[in-house]
Amino acid sequence: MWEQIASIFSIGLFQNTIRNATPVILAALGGLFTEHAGIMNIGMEGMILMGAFFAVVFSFTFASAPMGVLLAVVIGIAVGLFFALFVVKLKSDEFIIGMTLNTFAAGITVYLLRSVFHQTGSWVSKDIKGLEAIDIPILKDIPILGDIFSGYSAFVYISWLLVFAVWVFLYRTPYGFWMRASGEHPEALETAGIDPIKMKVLASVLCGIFCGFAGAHLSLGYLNCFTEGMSASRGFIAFACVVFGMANPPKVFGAALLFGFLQALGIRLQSVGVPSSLTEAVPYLATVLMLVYITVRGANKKRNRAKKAMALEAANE
Amino acid sequence: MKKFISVALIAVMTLSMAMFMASCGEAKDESGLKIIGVISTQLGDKSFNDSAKEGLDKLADEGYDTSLVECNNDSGLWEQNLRNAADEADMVFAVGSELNMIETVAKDYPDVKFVWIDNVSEHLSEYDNLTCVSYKQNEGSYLVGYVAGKMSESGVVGFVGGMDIPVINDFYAGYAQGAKDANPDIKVVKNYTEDWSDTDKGAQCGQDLKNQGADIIFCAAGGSGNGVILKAKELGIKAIGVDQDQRLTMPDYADDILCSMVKNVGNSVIDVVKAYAEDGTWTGGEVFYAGMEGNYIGVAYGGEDQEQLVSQEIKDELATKIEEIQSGKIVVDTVF
Repeated sequence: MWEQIASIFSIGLFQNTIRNATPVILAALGGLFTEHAGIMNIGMEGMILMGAFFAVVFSFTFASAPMGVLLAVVIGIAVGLFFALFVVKLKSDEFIIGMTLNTFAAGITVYLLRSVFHQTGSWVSKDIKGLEAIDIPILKDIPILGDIFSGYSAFVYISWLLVFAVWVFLYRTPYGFWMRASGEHPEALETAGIDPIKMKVLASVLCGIFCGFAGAHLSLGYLNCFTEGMSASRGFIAFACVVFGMANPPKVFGAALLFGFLQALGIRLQSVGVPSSLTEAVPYLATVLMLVYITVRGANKKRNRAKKAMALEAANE
Repeated sequence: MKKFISVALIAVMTLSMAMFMASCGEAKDESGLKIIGVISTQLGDKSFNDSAKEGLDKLADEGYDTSLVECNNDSGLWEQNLRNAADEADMVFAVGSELNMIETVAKDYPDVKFVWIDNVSEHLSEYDNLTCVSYKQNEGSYLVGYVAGKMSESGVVGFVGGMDIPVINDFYAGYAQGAKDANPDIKVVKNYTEDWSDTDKGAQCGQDLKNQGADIIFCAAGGSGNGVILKAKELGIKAIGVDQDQRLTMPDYADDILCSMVKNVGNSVIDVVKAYAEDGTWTGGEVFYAGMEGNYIGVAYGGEDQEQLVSQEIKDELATKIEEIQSGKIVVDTVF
């Protein structure tokens, strides 16, 4: 029994946790901006997919991974502006535009893959250069910890730094303050002389860039290939993490890690005889449970606050 | 102005989607037998589905009117596309073990011939317009299992399956038996990706098996299994390909693939069509068992110019094993 449990919690489990979590962390950090700016962004799935595809295109053409990342970022900015044009400028329904973006990304990547690059399904080639794995000095020589935390592509470490950077941006700079205000109280921001529309567009573009990172990491950070539909719902999971983490960077980071852990655990559980159809459902089941927990806790908090206010009122009388 | 921009942009998006749709299915002129293949998942797995396409393409070269529809693993499209195909075609190939709604469709279109690839209908005898092609993947898997058992240095060999379903478990049954025959002390470990296209998941499954000690991994998981091959070098394992000769379909990774268990879907498609069109033979209500005779199942070692990873000695041993299986001396386990 104990042996089996020990075999589940191996080093590979934690390595895969980090691998699964990284694209979700990057996308979710992008989703934070739009969430704070008051935009419900379910288009992250499509943004990631486009990033993944175009990263491979440039990496293949120039035989250089940084060029791939560059194009992913450029495309991310373009998609972010496109999203903002519809949602912020033209005030279309954000849900519909998000869904459209997802279908559009699925269509355009497959179309270009087949018609321009003459590949179907997956695009595998030695000419697709991946991001190099980075070994962290000192840390890499420590047993266990070195195996778990060292030897990933730069994006993994960047994503950790970004958690802190995004937090500082949102809560310690005027831009972050304005961005949050543009979602919570745009009229107030306008009276202060700041254009809320500009802040919303900025949020949308930042989200595009972060999703571009997530996509580039997905296609160049680990496997160096593009597969049709390779974003595989990670954009939606990222959105769930944003909601679960109440759009607070460290909490969202925790939610993404939890998701990555559960997904990795699913594969490990198979080795002790749990049916694969069941383990496959674990991360999604957990997401639903998390959301239920959040909603219930939020409702309880509200009720408690109301009770306290009433008690205070009664005492005053 | 704003309205104009939004209308124009929507038009552009619709157009590009339409272009994508159009690029998928091209209509051909009406002549001879019209054959449509419906694929439950999608092309590009460089194995099972692509092999079916290869068969249809060869038929098209010979003047048959063939076309292909992908369902992209959207289960809502399966029955719809089968019905659409039956409306147009004389013969419909359902490629994929999940397409069991072919039974109801076949009942509604008595004049159309249906062929179900890779699974056997339970009520097959009730139909005279449906035939099922079942592959003896267990026998082919026995052979690659034997190779794995002989070549494994760690004493553990792995198996990555696409889904916990009978067809895939049939691969596993043969593989495990072959490995044990080659080396009675061998341990066989397995897991499933539960996905046919997520390469990332395949790589993780491969890593997991490696952590359990496996040094040779057989991946019967379509496109997701390719993740094992892509990561083979980093994990320090060798992979065994499936369905097509993957040393040829993924030449950049040929030195990570020992050999492939070939399940020649294309050949069986061609033979079924030709038997019907040229000789008028149609085995409705019967199962067509595609095995090593007729070259439907076998082991492929890549091209002549590629460096061979399997020694001649093992190849010779396999030749005797093939004879023994064909003569019935070895009975390979099956889940069917």
